[in-house]
Amino acid sequence: MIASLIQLRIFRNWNMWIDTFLLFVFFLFIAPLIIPRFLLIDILSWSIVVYGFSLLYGFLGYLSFGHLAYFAVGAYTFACTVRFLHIDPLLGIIIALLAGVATGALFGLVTVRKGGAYFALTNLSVSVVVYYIVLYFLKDYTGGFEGKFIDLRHGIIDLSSRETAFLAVLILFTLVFLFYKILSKSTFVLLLQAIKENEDRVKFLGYNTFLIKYIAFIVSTMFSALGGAALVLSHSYVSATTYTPAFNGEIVIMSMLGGASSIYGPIIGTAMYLGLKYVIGSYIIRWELVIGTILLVSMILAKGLGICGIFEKLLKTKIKLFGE
Amino acid sequence: MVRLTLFQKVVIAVIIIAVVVIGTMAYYFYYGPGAPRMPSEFKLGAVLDYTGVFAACAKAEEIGMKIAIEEINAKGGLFGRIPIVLITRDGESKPEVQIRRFRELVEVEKVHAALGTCHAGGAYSLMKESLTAGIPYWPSPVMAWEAFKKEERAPWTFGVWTPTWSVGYAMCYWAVTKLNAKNVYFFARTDAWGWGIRDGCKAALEKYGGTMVGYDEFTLGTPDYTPYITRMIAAKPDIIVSTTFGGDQVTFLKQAYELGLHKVAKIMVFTSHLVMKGIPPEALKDVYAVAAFYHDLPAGLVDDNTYKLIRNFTNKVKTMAGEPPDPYTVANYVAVLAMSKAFEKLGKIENIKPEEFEKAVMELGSIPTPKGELRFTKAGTPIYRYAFFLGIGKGPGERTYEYDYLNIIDVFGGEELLPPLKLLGYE
Amino acid sequence: MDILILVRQTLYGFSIGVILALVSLGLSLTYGKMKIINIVHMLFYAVGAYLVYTSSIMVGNFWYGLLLSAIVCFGLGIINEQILKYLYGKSIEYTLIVTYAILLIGIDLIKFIWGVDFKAVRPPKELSWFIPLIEIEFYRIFVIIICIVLYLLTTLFMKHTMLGKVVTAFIDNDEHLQAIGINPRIATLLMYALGSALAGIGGALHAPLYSPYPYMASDIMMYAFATVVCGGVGSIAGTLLGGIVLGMGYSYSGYFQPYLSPIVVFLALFIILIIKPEGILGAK
Repeated sequence: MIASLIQLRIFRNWNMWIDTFLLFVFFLFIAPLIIPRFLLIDILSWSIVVYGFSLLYGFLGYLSFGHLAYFAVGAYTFACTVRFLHIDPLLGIIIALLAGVATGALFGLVTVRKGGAYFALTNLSVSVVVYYIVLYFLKDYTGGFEGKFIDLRHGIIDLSSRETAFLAVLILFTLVFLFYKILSKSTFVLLLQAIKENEDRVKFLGYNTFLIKYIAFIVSTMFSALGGAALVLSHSYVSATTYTPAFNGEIVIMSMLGGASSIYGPIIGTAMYLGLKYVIGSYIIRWELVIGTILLVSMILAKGLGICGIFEKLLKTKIKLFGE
Repeated sequence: MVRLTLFQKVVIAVIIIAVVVIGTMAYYFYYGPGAPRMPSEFKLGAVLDYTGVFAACAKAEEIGMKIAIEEINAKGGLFGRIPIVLITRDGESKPEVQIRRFRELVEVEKVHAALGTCHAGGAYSLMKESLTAGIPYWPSPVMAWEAFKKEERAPWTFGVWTPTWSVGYAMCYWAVTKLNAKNVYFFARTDAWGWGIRDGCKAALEKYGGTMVGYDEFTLGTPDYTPYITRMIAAKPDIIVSTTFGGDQVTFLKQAYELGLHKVAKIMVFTSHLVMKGIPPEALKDVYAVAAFYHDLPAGLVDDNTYKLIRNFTNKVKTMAGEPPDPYTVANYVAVLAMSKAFEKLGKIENIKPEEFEKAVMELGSIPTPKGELRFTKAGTPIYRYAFFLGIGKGPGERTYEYDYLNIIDVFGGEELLPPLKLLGYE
Repeated sequence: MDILILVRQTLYGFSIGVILALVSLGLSLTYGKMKIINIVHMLFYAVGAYLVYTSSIMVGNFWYGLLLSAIVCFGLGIINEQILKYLYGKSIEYTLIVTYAILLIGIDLIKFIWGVDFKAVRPPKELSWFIPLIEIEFYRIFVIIICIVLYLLTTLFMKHTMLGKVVTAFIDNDEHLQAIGINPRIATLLMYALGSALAGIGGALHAPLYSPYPYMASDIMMYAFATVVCGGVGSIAGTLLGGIVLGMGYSYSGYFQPYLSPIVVFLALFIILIIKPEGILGAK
């Protein structure tokens, strides 16, 4: 059954490879001319988490209010293994990935049973517990509120320089994007969407819906953990302030802004949100007021669709932005 | 459903991204690398946490910087001809954002030096970042004293705050020598702040013959101190030395007052104007308060020159902010002054190497400040003539004006209260 | 733990729990009925606290502040309903972002009006003394009593007054209401206004127990949601129960280590959700 979920003939689809390559080239050469690289690296890192979130929200319709937990798990696993075990940061990234998988495997058993408020709040609970553990109980390792500086110099590649860190994060992002694209064309995602519509019907068809949801959850947490490692990579610093549970809403907004069910949605939503904060915050001290107003107004005007949703409407054709 | 050609897809992608970041683009191109450089201006960058938990501190810091810049520009600026421009960005009280903003200040705004944050961890990360960024950075908040260790500190970074270690040293020095309270009950916060103060206190107790008869720890943000206060009352020490600060201090003193702790022992806290603003007067009455700066001193306690500087500075801050200066304000005022003098000594404002900037600062000799003469140790810690002020809290009946919190009775400073150079890895 | 400390922490937990319940009741009702997650609701809690602060500074009287909070939040609740009427039926994304945006704006307005520093509010002099032996502020006992009384009043109101019965009927099934010819608009308005006023009172009562600050609205959000879901959405008694359960958890664990409190609260939520996803008193 698992094999049928991933149709390998996807790999022969040239369009997909070209799209991914173009995106990579775009971010490597063109985007830095428009967006400063230090902002771009943060956008790419955060968008990886938002991809993880959108997988669950966009396709399955399950809204998680606690993805910062998995973000934190990845970030701290990376930070602590690099700092205390003095391993190569590249290895650290892989370990962070595995930690994300493990966390998802653990909590997924319980969280994916139902959607709606149940899913949102069980994940929120995980986020709160993880936050306070890294803030205080594991403070000696994590640095807690103050945080810890991570020296990225020991390794095959010196990841402490701006250029290599950017390239590393960009590669991670591209891999995530590619994975997401492949995923979006598989029957797996079709099943997720079917479950979103009517789970019982899918069960009657003979599928183990719990297993499907479970796997989706693990992939989602894996992405989030990867995003966490990427963010530490971009700053050489990790601090619990980033993972305050109250900021879970930001991930939700970034996903919704871009349109949760399209492939480009997460990156666009993240770019918009962080870009907006960056630009407005540079001019106006009361940026919270302005951004709140902008979000409000744009949501009302956009009638609740993400940017990609609007685009689809604008071109008056249902352009399947994923799967071409 | 429409199948798009490759070309159409590329076009759409470019349009979307362009629309999305149009604001950033316009901004970036305005200030970007192609924009003409203006060496006729000195750009000072500051990452200030206007939003988030440290919002109150950001304002205080900014005012100190602005006043210093005003004074320097009144004489024409650096070298008498290069005016200083302050460029600030919101750090949102998170190191993640602070680092981003710092990079923005360096790469986009092309600042020549930077100050900032209200967060010790953030300041530490900016200190590290400054080495790759290529501009000197001085921290605006108090940093953990370990940041000044030889292997940690960036050579051009100097602290304008006497470290937490010194706070503890001063507090316990005064407890034993001035207040004759030899039995100390120490209340430490479970982090670098609390432990740093504790370490300094222990050193002072050892030197002046006091004992720590009680010790307890609390976490930042504790809403209820009653269990701790009950234990303090039971221990019957001569004095409680508490490292509560900020909102915690307000809560602690409120609850201590209601539980009647002041009837059992003396209470000593480290405080500041921003904190005292929020403490109900009854709760501050007869509490011994140590502050890094105070605006209202009795005559004869400090030398005439410093007294004048304090008066001038306080008036300027009152005019600009409506309130007297907070230690954050003074610290950042001093930072800008000292930094500019260092740049003037160097004779240049660009392409600075960490070691040459450090050398320039060390060669400055002493600088007059509202905390007395200032010199730096080679560990980057400041030697102020008047590092700390000891005062007694005034009750509701004794206050003659709104900010009349304390009766200052002593000052302390110099090199004695600094963490020994050996501890920091020098010599 | 000796018995006095146990008593103390139990009362402490009770005081937190009833405030939580009061603040979350409005949320529970609107989510239960309108299926709207009204994030703006958190603002009322903050506004209530700040109004009490202003009242104690300007007039020196806590009681006026309490009354003021109730009235102002009642009015704000009506305004809130007008905004949310607009959102009824829209997708959850829409609602979430709009209400979140309004919360951001509200927090910034609070910062603008009152400033960013922590405020100190003292409980009324008559009530601010410590009960000997147990060492708990009498004010907390007062809070418990007031909140329970308010809760009882609300329940009585819902069951026995005409207006209340309209709201209850509305919550159960608004088509029946329309069939009788009563405009459900009255019911919705009242539901929002009542919930908001209670949240404001909750904030006002809580203010003397710690320091109001601008971001308190977003910080309480998690706990409010936890209370609602834990107790059972749409159930009045459930919210009270949920609040008390979580308040106790917070208090007992907080005695040993303050940072343990949120962990215990959300762990409790997690476990309750696993065992009974609808909440303790929630309907299946």
